[in-house]
Amino acid sequence: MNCSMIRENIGPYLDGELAPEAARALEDHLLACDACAGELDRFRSLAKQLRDAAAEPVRAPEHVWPAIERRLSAWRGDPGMAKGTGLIRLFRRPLAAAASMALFIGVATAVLVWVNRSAQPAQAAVDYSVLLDGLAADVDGAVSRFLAHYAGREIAPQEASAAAPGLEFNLPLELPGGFKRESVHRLRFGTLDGVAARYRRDGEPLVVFFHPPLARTRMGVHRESQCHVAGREGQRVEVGPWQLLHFTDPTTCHCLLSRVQDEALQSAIFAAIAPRFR
Amino acid sequence: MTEADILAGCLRQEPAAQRELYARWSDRIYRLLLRFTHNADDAADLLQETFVRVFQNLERFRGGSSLGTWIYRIAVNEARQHFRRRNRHDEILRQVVAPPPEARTGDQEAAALRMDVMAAVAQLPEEERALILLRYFEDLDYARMAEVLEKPPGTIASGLNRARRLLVEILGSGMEPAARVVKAGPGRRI
Repeated sequence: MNCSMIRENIGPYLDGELAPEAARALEDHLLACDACAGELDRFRSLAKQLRDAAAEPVRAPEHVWPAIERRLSAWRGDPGMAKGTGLIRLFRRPLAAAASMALFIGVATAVLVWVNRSAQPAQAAVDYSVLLDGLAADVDGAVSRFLAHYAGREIAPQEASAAAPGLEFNLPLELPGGFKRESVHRLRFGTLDGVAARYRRDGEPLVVFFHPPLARTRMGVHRESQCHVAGREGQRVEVGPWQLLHFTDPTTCHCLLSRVQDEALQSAIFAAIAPRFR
Repeated sequence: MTEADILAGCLRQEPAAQRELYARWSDRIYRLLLRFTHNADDAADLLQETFVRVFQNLERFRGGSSLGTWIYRIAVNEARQHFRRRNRHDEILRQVVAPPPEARTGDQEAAALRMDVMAAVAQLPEEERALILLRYFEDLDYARMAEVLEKPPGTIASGLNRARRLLVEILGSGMEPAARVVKAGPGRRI
Protein backbone atom coordinates (compact mmCIF):
# COMPACT_ATOMS: atom_id res chain seq x y z
CA MET A 1 0.00 0.00 0.00
CA ASN A 2 1.24 3.52 -0.76
CA CYS A 3 1.15 6.49 1.65
CA SER A 4 -2.11 7.84 0.21
CA MET A 5 -3.97 4.61 0.88
CA ILE A 6 -2.39 4.25 4.31
CA ARG A 7 -3.47 7.74 5.33
CA GLU A 8 -7.07 7.03 4.48
CA ASN A 9 -6.89 4.16 6.96
CA ILE A 10 -5.25 6.04 9.85
CA GLY A 11 -8.52 7.50 11.15
CA PRO A 12 -10.42 4.20 11.03
CA TYR A 13 -7.38 2.53 12.66
CA LEU A 14 -7.48 4.93 15.61
CA ASP A 15 -11.27 4.51 15.81
CA GLY A 16 -10.95 0.71 15.96
CA GLU A 17 -12.85 0.40 12.69
CA LEU A 18 -10.10 -1.13 10.56
CA ALA A 19 -10.08 -4.85 9.71
CA PRO A 20 -7.21 -6.74 11.45
CA GLU A 21 -5.38 -7.47 8.22
CA ALA A 22 -5.47 -3.83 7.09
CA ALA A 23 -4.42 -2.75 10.60
CA ARG A 24 -1.33 -4.99 10.44
CA ALA A 25 -0.40 -3.60 7.01
CA LEU A 26 -0.75 -0.08 8.36
CA GLU A 27 1.41 -0.82 11.39
CA ASP A 28 4.13 -2.31 9.16
CA HIS A 29 4.03 0.80 6.96
CA LEU A 30 4.27 3.16 9.92
CA LEU A 31 7.51 1.52 11.10
CA ALA A 32 9.17 2.62 7.88
CA CYS A 33 7.39 5.93 7.07
CA ASP A 34 7.91 9.01 9.24
CA ALA A 35 5.40 11.11 7.26
CA CYS A 36 2.52 8.70 7.86
CA ALA A 37 3.62 8.22 11.48
CA GLY A 38 3.38 12.02 11.83
CA GLU A 39 -0.19 11.92 10.50
CA LEU A 40 -1.02 9.22 13.04
CA ASP A 41 0.38 11.41 15.85
CA ARG A 42 -1.63 14.43 14.68
CA PHE A 43 -4.88 12.47 14.53
CA ARG A 44 -4.19 10.83 17.90
CA SER A 45 -3.51 14.22 19.51
CA LEU A 46 -6.67 15.64 17.92
CA ALA A 47 -8.75 12.72 19.22
CA LYS A 48 -7.43 13.32 22.74
CA GLN A 49 -8.29 17.04 22.59
CA LEU A 50 -11.79 16.24 21.34
CA ARG A 51 -12.40 13.61 24.01
CA ASP A 52 -11.14 15.98 26.73
CA ALA A 53 -13.58 18.64 25.51
CA ALA A 54 -16.37 16.06 25.40
CA ALA A 55 -15.87 15.19 29.06
CA GLU A 56 -17.47 18.43 30.29
CA PRO A 57 -20.95 17.62 31.67
CA VAL A 58 -24.00 19.26 30.08
CA ARG A 59 -27.56 19.11 31.40
CA ALA A 60 -30.75 19.91 29.50
CA PRO A 61 -32.47 23.09 30.75
CA GLU A 62 -35.39 22.44 33.10
CA HIS A 63 -37.88 24.62 31.22
CA VAL A 64 -37.89 22.38 28.14
CA TRP A 65 -39.87 19.40 29.47
CA PRO A 66 -42.91 21.44 30.67
CA ALA A 67 -43.05 23.06 27.21
CA ILE A 68 -42.99 19.62 25.57
CA GLU A 69 -45.75 18.41 27.91
CA ARG A 70 -47.95 21.38 27.00
CA ARG A 71 -47.48 20.79 23.29
CA LEU A 72 -48.17 17.08 23.59
CA SER A 73 -51.27 17.84 25.61
CA ALA A 74 -52.52 20.24 22.93
CA TRP A 75 -51.64 17.74 20.21
CA ARG A 76 -53.59 14.96 21.97
CA GLY A 77 -56.51 17.34 22.32
CA ASP A 78 -56.55 17.11 26.12
CA PRO A 79 -59.16 19.46 27.58
CA GLY A 80 -56.35 21.03 29.65
CA MET A 81 -53.82 19.45 31.95
CA ALA A 82 -54.06 22.18 34.53
CA LYS A 83 -57.79 22.62 34.33
CA GLY A 84 -59.35 19.35 35.25
CA THR A 85 -58.07 16.37 37.08
CA GLY A 86 -56.61 17.89 40.23
CA LEU A 87 -59.71 19.94 41.02
CA ILE A 88 -62.09 17.07 40.28
CA ARG A 89 -60.18 14.83 42.68
CA LEU A 90 -60.19 17.56 45.31
CA PHE A 91 -63.93 18.14 45.20
CA ARG A 92 -64.53 14.50 46.04
CA ARG A 93 -63.27 15.46 49.51
CA PRO A 94 -65.40 18.41 50.75
CA LEU A 95 -63.34 19.43 53.80
CA ALA A 96 -60.15 19.46 51.87
CA ALA A 97 -61.95 21.36 49.14
CA ALA A 98 -63.14 24.05 51.57
CA ALA A 99 -59.69 24.50 53.07
CA SER A 100 -58.07 24.54 49.67
CA MET A 101 -60.60 27.02 48.33
CA ALA A 102 -59.88 29.42 51.22
CA LEU A 103 -56.16 29.07 50.55
CA PHE A 104 -56.73 29.51 46.82
CA ILE A 105 -58.76 32.70 47.33
CA GLY A 106 -56.05 34.15 49.58
CA VAL A 107 -53.26 33.33 47.15
CA ALA A 108 -55.30 34.50 44.16
CA THR A 109 -56.01 37.84 45.85
CA ALA A 110 -52.32 38.32 46.59
CA VAL A 111 -51.41 37.42 43.02
CA LEU A 112 -54.00 39.83 41.60
CA VAL A 113 -52.67 42.65 43.76
CA TRP A 114 -49.15 41.85 42.65
CA VAL A 115 -50.15 41.62 38.99
CA ASN A 116 -51.89 45.00 39.14
CA ARG A 117 -48.75 46.56 40.57
CA SER A 118 -46.43 44.89 38.09
CA ALA A 119 -44.76 46.93 35.44
CA GLN A 120 -45.62 46.39 31.76
CA PRO A 121 -44.96 44.63 29.51
CA ALA A 122 -46.49 41.56 31.08
CA GLN A 123 -44.09 38.73 31.87
CA ALA A 124 -45.87 36.07 29.83
CA ALA A 125 -44.89 34.34 26.65
CA VAL A 126 -46.52 33.25 23.43
CA ASP A 127 -45.03 30.16 21.82
CA TYR A 128 -45.63 30.78 18.12
CA SER A 129 -43.83 27.58 17.19
CA VAL A 130 -47.12 25.83 18.08
CA LEU A 131 -48.64 27.73 15.16
CA LEU A 132 -45.68 27.77 12.81
CA ASP A 133 -44.70 24.08 12.97
CA GLY A 134 -46.52 22.25 10.22
CA LEU A 135 -48.09 25.45 8.97
CA ALA A 136 -47.10 24.94 5.35
CA ALA A 137 -48.65 21.45 5.30
CA ASP A 138 -51.95 22.25 7.02
CA VAL A 139 -52.69 25.84 7.93
CA ASP A 140 -56.15 25.17 9.34
CA GLY A 141 -54.77 22.37 11.51
CA ALA A 142 -51.93 24.60 12.73
CA VAL A 143 -54.34 27.41 13.63
CA SER A 144 -56.65 24.99 15.46
CA ARG A 145 -53.68 23.64 17.38
CA PHE A 146 -52.60 27.15 18.36
CA LEU A 147 -56.11 28.09 19.47
CA ALA A 148 -56.41 24.89 21.52
CA HIS A 149 -52.96 25.49 23.06
CA TYR A 150 -54.12 28.87 24.36
CA ALA A 151 -57.52 27.67 25.59
CA GLY A 152 -59.31 29.13 22.57
CA ARG A 153 -63.10 29.33 22.92
CA GLU A 154 -65.35 30.57 20.16
CA ILE A 155 -67.31 33.64 21.16
CA ALA A 156 -69.79 35.95 19.48
CA PRO A 157 -68.05 38.80 17.61
CA GLN A 158 -69.79 41.39 19.79
CA GLU A 159 -68.20 39.76 22.89
CA ALA A 160 -64.65 40.27 21.58
CA SER A 161 -63.97 43.66 23.19
CA ALA A 162 -65.23 42.48 26.58
CA ALA A 163 -63.18 39.27 26.29
CA ALA A 164 -59.93 41.26 26.17
CA PRO A 165 -60.74 44.65 27.73
CA GLY A 166 -57.20 46.07 27.67
CA LEU A 167 -56.65 45.51 23.97
CA GLU A 168 -57.36 47.86 21.06
CA PHE A 169 -58.47 46.11 17.88
CA ASN A 170 -61.24 45.89 15.30
CA LEU A 171 -62.78 42.80 13.74
CA PRO A 172 -64.74 43.98 10.70
CA LEU A 173 -67.05 41.57 8.95
CA GLU A 174 -64.88 41.81 5.85
CA LEU A 175 -61.22 42.77 5.52
CA PRO A 176 -59.62 44.51 2.54
CA GLY A 177 -58.94 41.93 -0.15
CA GLY A 178 -62.35 40.30 0.32
CA PHE A 179 -61.55 38.14 3.38
CA LYS A 180 -64.80 37.37 5.20
CA ARG A 181 -64.95 36.77 8.94
CA GLU A 182 -65.76 33.16 9.90
CA SER A 183 -65.28 32.96 13.66
CA VAL A 184 -63.97 34.86 16.68
CA HIS A 185 -62.17 33.21 19.63
CA ARG A 186 -61.19 34.25 23.11
CA LEU A 187 -57.64 33.17 24.06
CA ARG A 188 -55.79 32.90 27.37
CA PHE A 189 -52.03 33.50 27.52
CA GLY A 190 -51.37 32.52 31.09
CA THR A 191 -53.18 35.21 33.08
CA LEU A 192 -53.65 37.45 30.06
CA ASP A 193 -56.51 37.67 27.58
CA GLY A 194 -56.28 37.62 23.83
CA VAL A 195 -58.56 37.38 20.84
CA ALA A 196 -58.27 35.63 17.48
CA ALA A 197 -60.44 35.67 14.38
CA ARG A 198 -60.48 33.46 11.33
CA TYR A 199 -61.21 34.99 7.94
CA ARG A 200 -61.40 33.32 4.52
CA ARG A 201 -61.45 34.33 0.84
CA ASP A 202 -62.39 31.64 -1.69
CA GLY A 203 -61.05 28.94 0.61
CA GLU A 204 -57.84 30.87 1.43
CA PRO A 205 -57.54 31.37 5.21
CA LEU A 206 -56.34 34.51 6.96
CA VAL A 207 -56.09 34.72 10.73
CA VAL A 208 -55.58 37.67 13.07
CA PHE A 209 -54.49 37.45 16.72
CA PHE A 210 -54.37 40.11 19.37
CA HIS A 211 -52.56 39.89 22.69
CA PRO A 212 -50.94 42.28 25.16
CA PRO A 213 -47.35 43.29 24.36
CA LEU A 214 -45.48 40.41 25.92
CA ALA A 215 -41.99 40.25 27.25
CA ARG A 216 -41.20 37.08 25.34
CA THR A 217 -42.34 35.38 22.19
CA ARG A 218 -40.91 32.04 21.19
CA MET A 219 -40.49 31.07 17.57
CA GLY A 220 -38.93 27.62 17.96
CA VAL A 221 -36.85 26.89 14.89
CA HIS A 222 -38.44 29.70 12.92
CA ARG A 223 -36.65 32.95 12.27
CA GLU A 224 -38.18 36.30 13.02
CA SER A 225 -36.90 39.35 11.22
CA GLN A 226 -37.70 43.03 11.30
CA CYS A 227 -39.86 44.37 8.52
CA HIS A 228 -41.71 47.51 7.53
CA VAL A 229 -45.32 47.72 6.50
CA ALA A 230 -46.31 51.15 5.20
CA GLY A 231 -43.27 52.58 6.93
CA ARG A 232 -44.17 51.11 10.30
CA GLU A 233 -41.79 48.75 12.01
CA GLY A 234 -42.92 45.19 12.67
CA GLN A 235 -41.69 41.62 12.75
CA ARG A 236 -42.10 38.94 10.16
CA VAL A 237 -41.79 35.13 10.18
CA GLU A 238 -42.08 33.23 6.91
CA VAL A 239 -43.07 29.58 6.63
CA GLY A 240 -43.35 28.53 3.00
CA PRO A 241 -45.85 30.90 1.37
CA TRP A 242 -47.22 31.98 4.78
CA GLN A 243 -46.24 35.11 6.63
CA LEU A 244 -46.86 35.94 10.26
CA LEU A 245 -46.60 39.70 10.66
CA HIS A 246 -46.64 41.52 14.01
CA PHE A 247 -47.38 45.15 14.56
CA THR A 248 -47.22 46.19 18.21
CA ASP A 249 -48.49 49.42 19.73
CA PRO A 250 -48.41 50.35 23.45
CA THR A 251 -51.54 48.32 24.28
CA THR A 252 -51.77 45.52 21.75
CA CYS A 253 -49.72 43.19 19.61
CA HIS A 254 -51.60 42.73 16.31
CA CYS A 255 -50.63 39.57 14.44
CA LEU A 256 -51.64 38.75 10.88
CA LEU A 257 -51.18 35.26 9.43
CA SER A 258 -51.83 35.13 5.71
CA ARG A 259 -50.49 34.39 2.26
CA VAL A 260 -50.85 38.04 1.31
CA GLN A 261 -47.54 39.26 -0.15
CA ASP A 262 -48.69 42.65 -1.39
CA GLU A 263 -47.48 45.29 1.09
CA ALA A 264 -50.29 47.70 0.21
CA LEU A 265 -52.90 45.05 1.03
CA GLN A 266 -51.05 44.08 4.21
CA SER A 267 -51.06 47.72 5.21
CA ALA A 268 -54.79 48.06 4.46
CA ILE A 269 -55.55 44.98 6.56
CA PHE A 270 -53.52 46.30 9.51
CA ALA A 271 -55.30 49.63 9.19
CA ALA A 272 -58.60 47.75 9.40
CA ILE A 273 -57.73 45.73 12.51
CA ALA A 274 -55.36 48.07 14.42
CA PRO A 275 -56.85 51.48 15.32
CA ARG A 276 -53.41 53.05 15.93
CA PHE A 277 -51.98 51.83 12.63
CA ARG A 278 -53.89 54.37 10.59
CA MET B 1 -38.48 0.24 33.27
CA THR B 2 -36.96 -1.40 30.18
CA GLU B 3 -36.65 0.38 26.85
CA ALA B 4 -39.42 -1.87 25.50
CA ASP B 5 -41.69 -0.84 28.41
CA ILE B 6 -40.94 2.82 27.78
CA LEU B 7 -41.57 2.44 24.08
CA ALA B 8 -44.88 0.67 24.65
CA GLY B 9 -45.95 3.31 27.18
CA CYS B 10 -45.02 6.15 24.84
CA LEU B 11 -47.02 4.53 22.03
CA ARG B 12 -50.00 4.54 24.40
CA GLN B 13 -49.15 8.23 25.06
CA GLU B 14 -48.63 7.61 28.76
CA PRO B 15 -47.08 10.74 30.32
CA ALA B 16 -44.94 8.69 32.77
CA ALA B 17 -43.33 6.75 29.92
CA GLN B 18 -42.79 9.93 27.91
CA ARG B 19 -41.18 11.57 30.93
CA GLU B 20 -38.90 8.56 31.42
CA LEU B 21 -37.81 8.52 27.79
CA TYR B 22 -37.06 12.23 27.97
CA ALA B 23 -35.15 11.81 31.24
CA ARG B 24 -32.95 9.12 29.71
CA TRP B 25 -32.09 10.97 26.52
CA SER B 26 -32.52 14.71 27.01
CA ASP B 27 -29.06 15.46 28.42
CA ARG B 28 -27.29 13.63 25.61
CA ILE B 29 -29.42 15.18 22.89
CA TYR B 30 -29.12 18.67 24.39
CA ARG B 31 -25.34 18.24 24.63
CA LEU B 32 -25.20 17.32 20.94
CA LEU B 33 -27.44 20.22 19.93
CA LEU B 34 -25.57 22.71 22.11
CA ARG B 35 -22.28 21.74 20.50
CA PHE B 36 -23.87 21.77 17.08
CA THR B 37 -25.38 25.24 17.43
CA HIS B 38 -23.09 26.88 20.03
CA ASN B 39 -26.19 28.68 21.31
CA ALA B 40 -28.03 27.59 24.47
CA ASP B 41 -31.40 29.06 23.44
CA ASP B 42 -31.28 27.48 20.00
CA ALA B 43 -30.23 24.15 21.50
CA ALA B 44 -33.14 24.28 24.00
CA ASP B 45 -35.62 25.08 21.21
CA LEU B 46 -34.25 22.27 19.07
CA LEU B 47 -34.39 19.88 22.03
CA GLN B 48 -38.07 20.73 22.42
CA GLU B 49 -38.72 20.22 18.70
CA THR B 50 -36.79 16.95 18.69
CA PHE B 51 -38.82 15.37 21.49
CA VAL B 52 -42.16 16.67 20.26
CA ARG B 53 -41.33 14.99 16.94
CA VAL B 54 -40.16 11.85 18.71
CA PHE B 55 -43.41 11.48 20.64
CA GLN B 56 -45.63 12.46 17.73
CA ASN B 57 -43.93 10.06 15.31
CA LEU B 58 -43.07 7.13 17.53
CA GLU B 59 -45.41 4.79 15.67
CA ARG B 60 -43.10 5.24 12.67
CA PHE B 61 -40.14 3.83 14.62
CA ARG B 62 -39.80 0.33 13.23
CA GLY B 63 -36.97 -0.95 15.40
CA GLY B 64 -34.60 -1.28 12.43
CA SER B 65 -32.12 0.78 14.43
CA SER B 66 -31.92 1.37 18.16
CA LEU B 67 -34.28 3.91 19.68
CA GLY B 68 -31.29 6.08 20.59
CA THR B 69 -30.05 6.11 17.00
CA TRP B 70 -33.52 7.15 15.86
CA ILE B 71 -33.64 10.00 18.38
CA TYR B 72 -30.15 11.15 17.35
CA ARG B 73 -31.31 11.13 13.72
CA ILE B 74 -34.28 13.35 14.50
CA ALA B 75 -32.08 15.72 16.50
CA VAL B 76 -29.50 15.97 13.72
CA ASN B 77 -32.24 16.60 11.16
CA GLU B 78 -33.70 19.32 13.37
CA ALA B 79 -30.26 20.92 13.62
CA ARG B 80 -29.78 20.71 9.85
CA GLN B 81 -33.15 22.35 9.26
CA HIS B 82 -32.21 25.00 11.78
CA PHE B 83 -29.05 25.82 9.87
CA ARG B 84 -30.86 25.85 6.57
CA ARG B 85 -33.35 28.33 7.97
CA ARG B 86 -30.80 30.36 9.77
CA ASN B 87 -27.56 30.68 7.99
CA ARG B 88 -25.68 31.23 11.17
CA HIS B 89 -22.24 29.98 10.40
CA ASP B 90 -20.80 33.49 10.49
CA GLU B 91 -22.62 34.21 13.73
CA ILE B 92 -21.14 31.12 15.30
CA LEU B 93 -17.69 32.28 14.33
CA ARG B 94 -18.38 35.55 16.11
CA GLN B 95 -19.80 33.84 19.18
CA VAL B 96 -16.94 31.44 19.73
CA VAL B 97 -14.18 33.44 21.33
CA ALA B 98 -10.82 31.79 21.36
CA PRO B 99 -8.69 32.56 24.42
CA PRO B 100 -5.91 35.12 24.01
CA PRO B 101 -2.55 33.61 23.05
CA GLU B 102 -0.90 34.47 26.37
CA ALA B 103 1.41 32.24 28.33
CA ARG B 104 -0.68 29.57 30.09
CA THR B 105 0.13 26.90 32.58
CA GLY B 106 -1.51 23.79 34.06
CA ASP B 107 -5.32 23.90 34.21
CA GLN B 108 -5.38 27.17 32.29
CA GLU B 109 -3.60 25.48 29.42
CA ALA B 110 -6.00 22.52 29.43
CA ALA B 111 -9.07 24.79 29.54
CA ALA B 112 -7.69 26.94 26.75
CA LEU B 113 -7.00 23.86 24.65
CA ARG B 114 -10.62 22.71 25.14
CA MET B 115 -11.83 26.14 24.09
CA ASP B 116 -9.55 26.06 21.06
CA VAL B 117 -10.79 22.69 19.93
CA MET B 118 -14.47 23.66 20.42
CA ALA B 119 -13.87 26.88 18.50
CA ALA B 120 -12.30 24.82 15.75
CA VAL B 121 -15.23 22.37 15.70
CA ALA B 122 -17.62 25.33 15.40
CA GLN B 123 -15.79 26.44 12.27
CA LEU B 124 -16.31 23.14 10.48
CA PRO B 125 -18.95 22.92 7.76
CA GLU B 126 -22.22 21.49 9.03
CA GLU B 127 -21.78 17.88 7.88
CA GLU B 128 -18.17 17.61 9.04
CA ARG B 129 -19.22 19.06 12.40
CA ALA B 130 -21.94 16.43 12.71
CA LEU B 131 -19.41 13.67 12.01
CA ILE B 132 -16.94 14.93 14.63
CA LEU B 133 -19.65 15.43 17.27
CA LEU B 134 -21.20 12.00 16.76
CA ARG B 135 -17.83 10.22 16.75
CA TYR B 136 -15.93 11.97 19.52
CA PHE B 137 -18.62 13.53 21.69
CA GLU B 138 -21.36 10.92 21.43
CA ASP B 139 -18.96 7.99 20.91
CA LEU B 140 -20.98 6.40 18.10
CA ASP B 141 -19.32 3.82 15.86
CA TYR B 142 -19.31 4.18 12.08
CA ALA B 143 -22.35 1.94 11.59
CA ARG B 144 -24.53 3.99 13.97
CA MET B 145 -23.21 7.24 12.54
CA ALA B 146 -24.28 6.05 9.08
CA GLU B 147 -27.77 5.30 10.44
CA VAL B 148 -28.06 8.66 12.20
CA LEU B 149 -26.83 10.64 9.19
CA GLU B 150 -28.66 8.39 6.70
CA LYS B 151 -25.47 7.97 4.67
CA PRO B 152 -23.84 4.87 3.17
CA PRO B 153 -21.50 3.36 5.81
CA GLY B 154 -18.55 3.59 3.41
CA THR B 155 -18.74 7.37 3.34
CA ILE B 156 -18.31 7.82 7.08
CA ALA B 157 -14.58 7.02 7.16
CA SER B 158 -13.73 9.36 4.28
CA GLY B 159 -15.97 12.11 5.71
CA LEU B 160 -14.32 11.81 9.11
CA ASN B 161 -10.86 11.93 7.52
CA ARG B 162 -11.84 15.13 5.77
CA ALA B 163 -13.22 16.57 9.01
CA ARG B 164 -10.12 15.63 10.98
CA ARG B 165 -7.79 17.22 8.44
CA LEU B 166 -9.83 20.39 8.44
CA LEU B 167 -9.70 20.49 12.22
CA VAL B 168 -5.95 19.98 12.23
CA GLU B 169 -5.62 22.84 9.78
CA ILE B 170 -7.93 25.12 11.80
CA LEU B 171 -6.16 24.37 15.05
CA GLY B 172 -2.98 25.20 13.18
CA SER B 173 -0.94 26.92 15.85
CA GLY B 174 -0.78 23.97 18.20
CA MET B 175 -0.38 21.33 15.56
CA GLU B 176 1.36 21.18 12.20
CA PRO B 177 -1.12 21.14 9.32
CA ALA B 178 -1.46 17.83 7.58
CA ALA B 179 0.63 17.48 4.46
CA ARG B 180 -2.41 17.21 2.21
CA VAL B 181 -5.40 19.05 3.58
CA VAL B 182 -8.72 18.37 1.91
CA LYS B 183 -10.77 21.54 1.60
CA ALA B 184 -14.50 21.19 2.13
CA GLY B 185 -16.86 24.02 1.23
CA PRO B 186 -19.94 24.84 3.34
CA GLY B 187 -22.24 22.99 1.00
CA ARG B 188 -20.19 19.84 0.72
CA ARG B 189 -21.84 16.64 1.88
CA ILE B 190 -20.37 13.36 3.02
